[in-house]
Amino acid sequence: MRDEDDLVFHKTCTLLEPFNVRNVTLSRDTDIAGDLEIDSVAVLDLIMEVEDDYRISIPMNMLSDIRTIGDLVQTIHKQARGA
Amino acid sequence: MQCPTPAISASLALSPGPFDTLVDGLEYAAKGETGFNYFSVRGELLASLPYATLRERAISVAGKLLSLGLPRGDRMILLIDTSVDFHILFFACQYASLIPVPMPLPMNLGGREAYVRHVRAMIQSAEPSVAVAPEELQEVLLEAMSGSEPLFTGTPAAIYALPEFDHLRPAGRGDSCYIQYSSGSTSAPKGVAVSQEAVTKNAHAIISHGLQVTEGDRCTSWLPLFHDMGLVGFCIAPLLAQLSTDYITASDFARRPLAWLEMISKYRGTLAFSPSFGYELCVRRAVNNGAPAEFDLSSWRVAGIGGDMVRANAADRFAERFGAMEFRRSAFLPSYGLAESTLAVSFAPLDEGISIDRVDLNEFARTKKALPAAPEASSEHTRSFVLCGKPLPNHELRIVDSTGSELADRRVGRVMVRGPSVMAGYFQDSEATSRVLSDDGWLETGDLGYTIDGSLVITGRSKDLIICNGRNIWPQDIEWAVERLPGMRSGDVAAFSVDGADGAERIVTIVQCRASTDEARAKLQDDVGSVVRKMAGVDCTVVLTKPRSIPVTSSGKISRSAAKAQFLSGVYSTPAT
Repeated sequence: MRDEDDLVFHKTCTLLEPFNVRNVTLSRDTDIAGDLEIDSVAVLDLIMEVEDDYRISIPMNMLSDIRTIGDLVQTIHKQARGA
Repeated sequence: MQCPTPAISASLALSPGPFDTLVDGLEYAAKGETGFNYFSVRGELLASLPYATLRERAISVAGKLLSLGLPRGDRMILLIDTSVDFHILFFACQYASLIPVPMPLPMNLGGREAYVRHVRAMIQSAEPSVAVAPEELQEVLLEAMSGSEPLFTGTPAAIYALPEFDHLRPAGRGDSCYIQYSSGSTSAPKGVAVSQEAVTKNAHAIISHGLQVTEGDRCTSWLPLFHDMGLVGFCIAPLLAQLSTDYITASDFARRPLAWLEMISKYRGTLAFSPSFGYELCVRRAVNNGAPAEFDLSSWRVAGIGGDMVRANAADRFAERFGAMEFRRSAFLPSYGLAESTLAVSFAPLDEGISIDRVDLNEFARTKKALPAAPEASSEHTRSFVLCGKPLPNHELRIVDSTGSELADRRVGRVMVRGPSVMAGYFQDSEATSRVLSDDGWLETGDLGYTIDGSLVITGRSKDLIICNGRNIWPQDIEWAVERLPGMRSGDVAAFSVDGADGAERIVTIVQCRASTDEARAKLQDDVGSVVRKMAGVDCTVVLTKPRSIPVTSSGKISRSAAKAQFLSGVYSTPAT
């Protein structure tokens, strides 16, 4: 479970790396909209990639609760379990 | 297997009305087989709601709402995405003389706090008696309701479980049809109250004049129902014309815009609208993900563009990308409208595509005259604007100068509109109403433009509103958010938008900075960018400047227009020390 969690975390970081123009160290506490240069259209690109990769669907109303990379990883787990 | 409703009712002749009320229109449409259809992002039909079923359910639910003993004209908050429930509850209100108030839905990553604040201000203004949201949005709804005490808060299912009264109270011609909160800043939202008469007249003009609806037309829409283009254009107007409509949600469209085109292709849609950015999103996705599955867009008769300033280059790229799939450039239909005039004010002529007026930039900037540019003039000396057509029948349009005198053709001024579609006013806000609506019925649209032989051309906005990716952003909301950062003072920030690449707007935030070290300055720069991104969902240009360098008005408030002029002239490019 822990390994799988790390895997999801690392994969998420890979997806986010193109937006990391200020080269901050990505951690579970990284504030996605605050620390990375990602606008609302790019966020949706990202969400779509995550959905495709994990064959899940992340409802829009969950987005407003996702602040950090850790939140996103948790959401992926939650939706993958529900699917 | 369930099938979507047909485009044509075998048993009912198409009638464009005009109907006096939504109830009258639904009573007629319910005699046929057409209706609303809801699709998943992967194109599966989730549900189908023929108008006959909608009528039956709406009447039943109206009886349940009346069991709550609500007086005529009470408001009902609808925090519900495009769905069967939205439509049943919206039309139940019409049979019960209650006023539905659709709310925006949460969209931004990590933006929950700002979203709740926004919705709370709307709810406080609407003073609802009932508030409805599906299970998954109940928590947000309850949070936003704190401070308000409606009679009933719950899910659609909880409403449906109420006992049913067997009498109805249909809304009459003069009653309100809905309230739309799209105007005003986040902290002081203004609800546009639209009467049955205004909405039925506007819809009739859209159906008969703007789109010239004929038998076999079919609508395809992703537009949110808390905005006028979605609610009036792609829910009320199709119903009043007995057309079937196929829906995906706005959030599905935002992620997978090509699903919209796929529906048009598969179900032979003929009418579909979007702001310019929606067409851009389709191109972007088609380019990023390689060639999409082959669509046949030959049925698409009217590809409407409206909602913000029509950008010709966005439309051009769409036509280039999808021309091979039988998309016709002539299908583009530029339009102009605003919620305060229900929805539509003018449409360009059908089947002609986009007409451009190329004007001399120097004259335009210096004398506010839009004079045709010389054919050989280079692009940096010209500006191109899109013609949005003549006003709807029985509606008037005029361009006035700062003193209110009417201007001649090709003179740029404030755009004013008068006619039966104009709102009665902002809900319980006579002060805000009197600022935009004159005693003799002229509505100040807040837009700037000029006319050519009576055809309207929009050039910008006279108010400071910023529109990014289709979303209205009020500069004071940005300024207040930035001023909450440590060390910031009131009046330290000016936010405005400038024309960026491709005519899309780009936000600029000018910040007066007192920090002396490079580190502190860099941190402030980052913090401001981050605050704006969270609030507005877009990147912005952050400019740090010395204290007292943002121009102020005679009353001591910051002047955004003067700050913008300084920014464009390069005043802020010198480092502040």
